[in-house]
Amino acid sequence: MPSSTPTGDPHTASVRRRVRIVALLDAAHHAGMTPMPILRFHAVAYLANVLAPVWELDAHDGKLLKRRGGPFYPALQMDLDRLTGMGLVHLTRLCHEEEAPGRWRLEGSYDLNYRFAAPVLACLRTISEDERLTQAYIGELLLALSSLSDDDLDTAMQEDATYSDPQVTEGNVIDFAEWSDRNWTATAAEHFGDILPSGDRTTPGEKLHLYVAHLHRRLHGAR
Amino acid sequence: MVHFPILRQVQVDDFGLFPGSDEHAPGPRIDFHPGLTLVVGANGLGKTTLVTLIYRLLTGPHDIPSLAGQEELGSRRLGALPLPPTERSFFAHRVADGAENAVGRLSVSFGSHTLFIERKLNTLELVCLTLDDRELPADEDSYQNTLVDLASLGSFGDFVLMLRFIVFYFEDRRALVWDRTAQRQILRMLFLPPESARTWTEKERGILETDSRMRNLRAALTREQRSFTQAERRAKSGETLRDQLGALEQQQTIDVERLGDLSNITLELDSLRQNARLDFLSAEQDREARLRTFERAKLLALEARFPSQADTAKYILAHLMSENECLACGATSPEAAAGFLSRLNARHCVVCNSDLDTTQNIVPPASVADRRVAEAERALENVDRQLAGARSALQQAETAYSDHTRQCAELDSRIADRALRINQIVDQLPQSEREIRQQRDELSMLRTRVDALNEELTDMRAAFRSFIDENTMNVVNASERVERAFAEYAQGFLEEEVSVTRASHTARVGQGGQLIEFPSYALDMTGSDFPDKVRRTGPSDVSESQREFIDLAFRMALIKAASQSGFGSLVVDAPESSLDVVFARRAAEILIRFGSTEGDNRLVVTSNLVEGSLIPTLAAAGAEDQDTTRVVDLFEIATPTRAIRHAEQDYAAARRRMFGAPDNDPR
Repeated sequence: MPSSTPTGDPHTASVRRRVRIVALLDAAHHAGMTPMPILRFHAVAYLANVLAPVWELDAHDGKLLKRRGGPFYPALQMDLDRLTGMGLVHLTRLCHEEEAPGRWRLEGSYDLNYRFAAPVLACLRTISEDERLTQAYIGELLLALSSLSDDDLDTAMQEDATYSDPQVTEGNVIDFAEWSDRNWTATAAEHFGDILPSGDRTTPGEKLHLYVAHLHRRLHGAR
Repeated sequence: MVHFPILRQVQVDDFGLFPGSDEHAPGPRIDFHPGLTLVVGANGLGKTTLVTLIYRLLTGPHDIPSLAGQEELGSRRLGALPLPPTERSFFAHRVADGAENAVGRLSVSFGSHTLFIERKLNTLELVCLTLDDRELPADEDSYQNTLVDLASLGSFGDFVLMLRFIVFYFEDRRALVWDRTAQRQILRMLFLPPESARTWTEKERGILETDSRMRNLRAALTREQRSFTQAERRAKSGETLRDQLGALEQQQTIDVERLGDLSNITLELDSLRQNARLDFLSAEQDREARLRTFERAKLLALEARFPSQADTAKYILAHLMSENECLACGATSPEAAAGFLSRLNARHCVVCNSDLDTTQNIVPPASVADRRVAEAERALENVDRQLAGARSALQQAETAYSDHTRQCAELDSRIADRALRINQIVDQLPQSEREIRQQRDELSMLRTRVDALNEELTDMRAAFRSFIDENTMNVVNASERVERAFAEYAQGFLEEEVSVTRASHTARVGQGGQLIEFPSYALDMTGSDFPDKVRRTGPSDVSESQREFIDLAFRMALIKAASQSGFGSLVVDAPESSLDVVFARRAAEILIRFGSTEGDNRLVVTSNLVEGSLIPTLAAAGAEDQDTTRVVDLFEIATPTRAIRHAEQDYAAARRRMFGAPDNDPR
């Protein structure tokens, strides 16, 4: 299973992360969600991981450290930095924000620079069926997420079934697809599909939209 | 939520070890007021006997076997059983008259109810039992049922666990904060409703019993199989097949045993890699924060020289100067970084090297190389080392785990292949004798029973896992209270930052089956080489001085979080043994914090007259609060040993040094 933990070939892992970044930002662009602030980008990256089983795909990274401020993948951020340097990604509104006394984090908003990113995207669409499926999944997910307001998206983790699981406290590892399979988010999304009258005929895309609608309802007080 | 016992009063009559100081009374009486009661003595004066006496008045002639000591609680049976005769007559053996007429009386409250217990000390037999002055039948069943109701617990065994792991801090204690298997039972007992706590124990016990039954049956099957094969071999012709079968059987036995041994360490290796992963992910996050801090410092310095530059350009240069990495081409270029840095320090433009001294935008080089930049750089270097260490540790742990599981899988597959081969050989042997056929039938039946029991066990484990998932929310909901209370009690004891945090503990019930996640707490602490908190997984991860008081603070936090009233009792036997001068003073402060008179906690601390600041600090707290703090002087109420009579003057001088003027009676 793909992972950011340092067991595989670091170069391949880094390339995979860059491909994921390009795919996420492209989908965000088409869903009208760019430029995208850093933490929102990481939250979307997390949701793309945790909801992957709905599309019958493996999570790109099956675990992360639970933080007060929401999901943040340091290795993914490093590759985002690299893509910025390469010119594939535009960075605007750059600043540093103090999260806690003495602990700073980068803030800024990202968008794809299509002049350099277009060949990468064209290659991704033709290189393999898996990549094409992944692109389709991420596109559908971002379209679903675009129905949430920026504020809702920034606080969505409070209601996400896996990230807000009270059994895992801050500072501990949320493992939904590395060494454990406790993925409450995907289970919930599958469940929404099952309870619809269309039942087995509910498409993976519909399940994603149902889960995002559920997040929206939870964020606005429904239980 | 439970009611912890609140000790009110203990009285001991006609027990030779404690004659008391009042010649008109048959023995001493100690009142436990809210706050601290300090019991001071010397070796042999009966400190531990007094604490044991209070404990035994509560447990009576029952206990959970082998609960004392350093062994993990594990999957031990947790029901209270009658004490063996030697332990039952513990007090009788302490005095010449066999404690024939000695009685102990204890008043203890649970919420708004007060229980009075009177027991003979020679047999621990219940003599009198009253609840709120109403007499109850003086038998153990009635006593235990009443106590379980009063404390809101699932069973009397749970009450014994509560005493042993929270209320009484004996000399042979085992630290609860690092004992995940004990925590599993303690959190169940404290935070689950009594009915659920009881069901948990019954289900767990059911699995363990079935697991044990299955292992016995499996062992019997192996024995029968061996005996059958031998009988068959004897009866059959064909020497080659027979030899082959013998060799295969022998190797099979060795491999099955080896697989059992290997399976036992799987859990340990899994736990190691889980901890290594947590350390790595935490270090990765720390490194990110330190890098951005350093980067920001550099960026601030650059900003003055790039008044009109785009954000991206500034960011690329700041990253190059802090990481030596060019974000444009990916190359590592310390030379370029050094070049840019030297331009910056020489007040030149970073891009074109123009002298900026003549321009308006002059920033003194000091602002670039100021203390904050240097500090940020040092912090980054430090965390880089930590991250490299954590990465390497995780790689090792993952490799060890995957090597191990591969080894297990290979062995398992070899065993399965060999079993097939053995069956094939057995099938090839001619079946001539009725006896062998019959034995084979029996063997087949036995195998069917093992399979059926195995299926039953799998179902029981699945049901237990669901039960745990459904019933641990109470523990989860209490975690914030536990964490807050721990922070409150542990505050100031250590220079380091320390906290307990809820973290799941994965374990098997019995010797096989699926892993189950149980709630438990883990300790996180900073250290001289760890600027951010890291997990301390065992007592050896902290110093001897810190160990006991971290555990005490954890017990205090559990009392505060789990008690319906927020209060309880803590009886600490000889806490001073491992403390140095500084820690003794801080330890006293923790104890005083728990024994604060603002609440209804009862804190009983026993101690020898030792040099150090623990007793004087506690005694001083007593002096400030005469109404609520008592010093029980065992030199006054206990029978002195020969050694104490011999050194009477020395002990008197030591007591004067500790408690002040000679005429100041410490009581």
